[in-house]
Amino acid sequence: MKKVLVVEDNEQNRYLMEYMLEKSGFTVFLARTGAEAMAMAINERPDLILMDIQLPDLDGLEVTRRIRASEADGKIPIVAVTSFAMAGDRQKALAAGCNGYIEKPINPESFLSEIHKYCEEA
Amino acid sequence: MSLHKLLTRLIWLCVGPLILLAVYLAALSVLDKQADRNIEASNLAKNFATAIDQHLQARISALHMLADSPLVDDPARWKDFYQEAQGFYQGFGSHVILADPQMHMLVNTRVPFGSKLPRLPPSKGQAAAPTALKTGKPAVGDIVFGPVAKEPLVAIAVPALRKGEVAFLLLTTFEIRQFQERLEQVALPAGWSLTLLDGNHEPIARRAPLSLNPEKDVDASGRFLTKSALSAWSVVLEVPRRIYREPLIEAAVASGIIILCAAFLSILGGIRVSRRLGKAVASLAEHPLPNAAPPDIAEIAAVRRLLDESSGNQAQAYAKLQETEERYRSFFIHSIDAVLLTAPDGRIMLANPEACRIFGRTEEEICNLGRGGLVDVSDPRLGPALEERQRTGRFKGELTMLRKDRSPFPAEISTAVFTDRDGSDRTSMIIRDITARKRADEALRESESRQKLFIEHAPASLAMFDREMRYLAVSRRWLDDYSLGDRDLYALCHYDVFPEIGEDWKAIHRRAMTGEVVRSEEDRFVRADGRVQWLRWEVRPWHAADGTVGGIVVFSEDITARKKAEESILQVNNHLQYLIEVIQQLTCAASLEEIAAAVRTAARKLVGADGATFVLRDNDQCFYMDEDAIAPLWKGGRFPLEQCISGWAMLHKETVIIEDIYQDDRIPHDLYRQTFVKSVVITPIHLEAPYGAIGIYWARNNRPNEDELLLIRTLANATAIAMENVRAYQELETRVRERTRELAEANTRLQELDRLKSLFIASMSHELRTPLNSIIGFTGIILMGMSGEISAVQKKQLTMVKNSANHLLDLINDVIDVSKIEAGKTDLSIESFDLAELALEVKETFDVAAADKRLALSLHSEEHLQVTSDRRRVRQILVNLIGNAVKFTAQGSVAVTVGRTEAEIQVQVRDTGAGMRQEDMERLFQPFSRIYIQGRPVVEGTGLGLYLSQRIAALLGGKIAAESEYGRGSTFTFSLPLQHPEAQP
Repeated sequence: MKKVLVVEDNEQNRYLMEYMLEKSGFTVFLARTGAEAMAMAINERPDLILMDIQLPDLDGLEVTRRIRASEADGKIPIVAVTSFAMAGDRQKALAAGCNGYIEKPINPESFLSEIHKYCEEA
Repeated sequence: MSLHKLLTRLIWLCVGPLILLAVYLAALSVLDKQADRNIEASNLAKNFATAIDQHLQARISALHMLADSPLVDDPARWKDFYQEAQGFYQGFGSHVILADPQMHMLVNTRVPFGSKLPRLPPSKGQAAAPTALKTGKPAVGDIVFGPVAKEPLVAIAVPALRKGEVAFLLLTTFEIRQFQERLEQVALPAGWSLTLLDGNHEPIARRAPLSLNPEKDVDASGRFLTKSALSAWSVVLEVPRRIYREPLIEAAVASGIIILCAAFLSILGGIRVSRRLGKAVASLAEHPLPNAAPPDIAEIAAVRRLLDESSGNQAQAYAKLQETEERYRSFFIHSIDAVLLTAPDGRIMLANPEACRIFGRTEEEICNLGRGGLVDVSDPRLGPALEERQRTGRFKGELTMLRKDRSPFPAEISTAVFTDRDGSDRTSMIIRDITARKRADEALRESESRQKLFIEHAPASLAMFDREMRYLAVSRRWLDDYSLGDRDLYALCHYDVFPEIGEDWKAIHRRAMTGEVVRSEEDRFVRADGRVQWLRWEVRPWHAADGTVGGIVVFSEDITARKKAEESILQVNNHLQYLIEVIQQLTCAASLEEIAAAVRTAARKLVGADGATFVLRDNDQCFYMDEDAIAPLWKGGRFPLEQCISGWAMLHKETVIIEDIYQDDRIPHDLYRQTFVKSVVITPIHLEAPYGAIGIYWARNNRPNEDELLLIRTLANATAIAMENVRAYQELETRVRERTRELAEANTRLQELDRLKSLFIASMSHELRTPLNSIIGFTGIILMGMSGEISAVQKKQLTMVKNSANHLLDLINDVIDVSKIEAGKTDLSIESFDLAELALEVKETFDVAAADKRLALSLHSEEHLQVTSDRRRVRQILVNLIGNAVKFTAQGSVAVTVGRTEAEIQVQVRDTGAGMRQEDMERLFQPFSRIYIQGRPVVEGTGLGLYLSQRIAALLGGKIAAESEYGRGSTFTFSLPLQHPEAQP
């Protein structure tokens, strides 16, 4: 059973993703803030992290960077979840260490296949 | 005589005597043989005779015994006697007879005792009995015919003496046959005859070949007679001539054959050897064949080797000789000088081809002519030449010679006398036609004298020297330039004429002598009298006709005056150069201080000033902008214009030149006394309306010349310009500062604005999308059945919600896109992708929609079209165009064609929709423009599609063009460059 860490500050979004993932058979961990995310990443060692870029405390990319820095081996796939608006957002995400990104609003139909893809790649 | 013959003779000579000797020896041997034979024969005869004798003797002795026997005497006892006699007969094999002196047989063993006995037979010869009777000795008788025996017999009679008287006779008889038997037993060589003869020469026994005829076949030498010692008998051995001779002949023949053979062999052998020898020796006389084996006789081989060697040596020597001769001959023939071989008396033996050419005669003619015909006898040098040659054996010099046509030509002759191999004197003459040389010499002499003349008259300072630096020729100018007057310098040494010439010059002269050209464009000299001279000079060697350096030519030009002129020009040049620099400096000057500094330095440099100042006018007063030489007590002070000389200059608008300030009243002497100033020049700046002046000071009395004044004026003008520049620049600076400030403000505002825009877009994006996340997300989940079963109605209704949400999202996306584009914040992700593949992908997304409307949606494209652009955006455009086409076409087809030219792709979307009117097309690409089609509902969409497509197309470096025919359809063409303009290649 694959573990997914969802980092999202918006409650509804959190619930949305949690529901979809659990229905698809994933074990879902939730984090609201960057700090929570870091702690959970280290403790739970998820198979995938879905990182919302717009977070209250730390910028999601900064969290990604820190997670990457703390990883010694076996990089966990981190997928940025973002409503890409500005130029260079894509590049920044990838540069921070994200394996990919999913655009908001999420398309439920394609979301799960994307998740599976990122999990497979791990 | 040939060796062969000689050797043959030799052989004969050797062999002959030997043969003779051999023959002699053979003869001897034969004779020996003969003698042996004879001896043999004689011995044989003798032996036989002896044997017979012994035989007889034995009987005789026996008979004697008998005779001596008393039986004999008594006839009564003759029976006993008979018995004894029988014993005799048995012993000897021959009968005994007893006879009385009357020849009556008394007893005869032949017949039985008592038989009647006859008388003793007579013999043809001597009968034994009578003889014995007569002699009283034993006697051997000749052949008798025995009356009793009835066969020929021989008898031995032994007298029986009684009282010295023959009383009885005892006889024994032998059948001849006995002797014959005996004879037969003798080893008698074939052909010989042996005969036992009685005293009557009647043969008792005989052995002889049948065919033998004693008279004929035997000669005396072949007869050997031996008499019997006891009787008159004899033994005769007869060797027939033939047989006698046979062995001899045989031996002789054999010897002869042997001798002949030996002789033959030896002669043959000898001949062979002699032939061999002869051949070998003969071969010495011939040339050997190349591969002939050496003769096998060592000495001859040695001789052959020697011969070969010597012939080889000879050949070599000959070849060498040939070579040498060839060489000499070649030399003779190819000599470029004429060579003659003559006798001292003038006869010419040989002439080489060059001689023939020079004289124009054939060799024969030359030889016939003799020396006399070749030399010009009228040449006075001929006599002394011959004399010299006579004296010393050689001569070398010039004589005039004559050609065939009697034309004379000068020739150089070299002759030498030598003794020929056979002892006769010869001379060799080498003649060279020196006509050309003479001409050349003449020409050279002419040219040399011309040269001398030329130099003498040259309009330049020239002198020609020989190798010892003695004058050969000198030009007039030279004499003038060096103030030598009219001296005749010919043959004088240059260093004697100018003793002040230093080692450096001498070195230069020496260098020139080695062939070097030495020159200098300018050189400074101090003459003996102290004058300074500038010279331009050149020293170069001149070559004699033979190419060697004959001496040097010195050319010099006094350029002192020029130099001076040059120097002054240079100086002016420098000044101008500097002036230009200063002016450049001034034009760049950004402040009055800079100008002042430049002017100061310039004044010093240009006119040798010791100080310079700037005086500026401030209404009625002037003040010194700065001083460096002037005492600081004036710095900063202002003076009324009238009071200072600068003011005067400015007021009068003219340059003031004061050579001695203490002579000029305009200068306040007292003030200036504290300074170094003795001369001053003040020139106003901006002559038309002077607002300043430049003051230039000297510490000595100085009056600048025209040029210097010009420089000063120029400087002043430049300063004027510079000052105005500075002013303008300063104004400019101020304005620029202002402007910059304004711009900075504006910039700040813009940046602020920009920041706000980004913030707006980002937040809008985020804020607007977030709720949609939930809406789309959850409706999606529910519709997917993740939250449980839903009814059809719920499904239908939720689908509507989802569709609306999607539409809203599209709107938001498009609006945000538009904002981004307007704000210039689109980011393009340029990559290389296959456009054809993308087109297919997009087309396929509309397949269902097109099918629903029963439209024929087609795509024509190449299989692969690699482009470098933003895939996402291109996709967006394609979706927009194809989507529009499908949307706005009620029936018919939508054809998508992808084509390419060299640098761009063209995607053409042609539909058979309603088409558009011209006026509608104008608004086509504007935002939020909708086209209203009569009677048809407004189709969904954001109204931004085409606007965005066009803007994005432009961003990608392409464009979108539209064509339409109302009622027929429209064609939209999207062109895109293959490589995005900003893409990294």
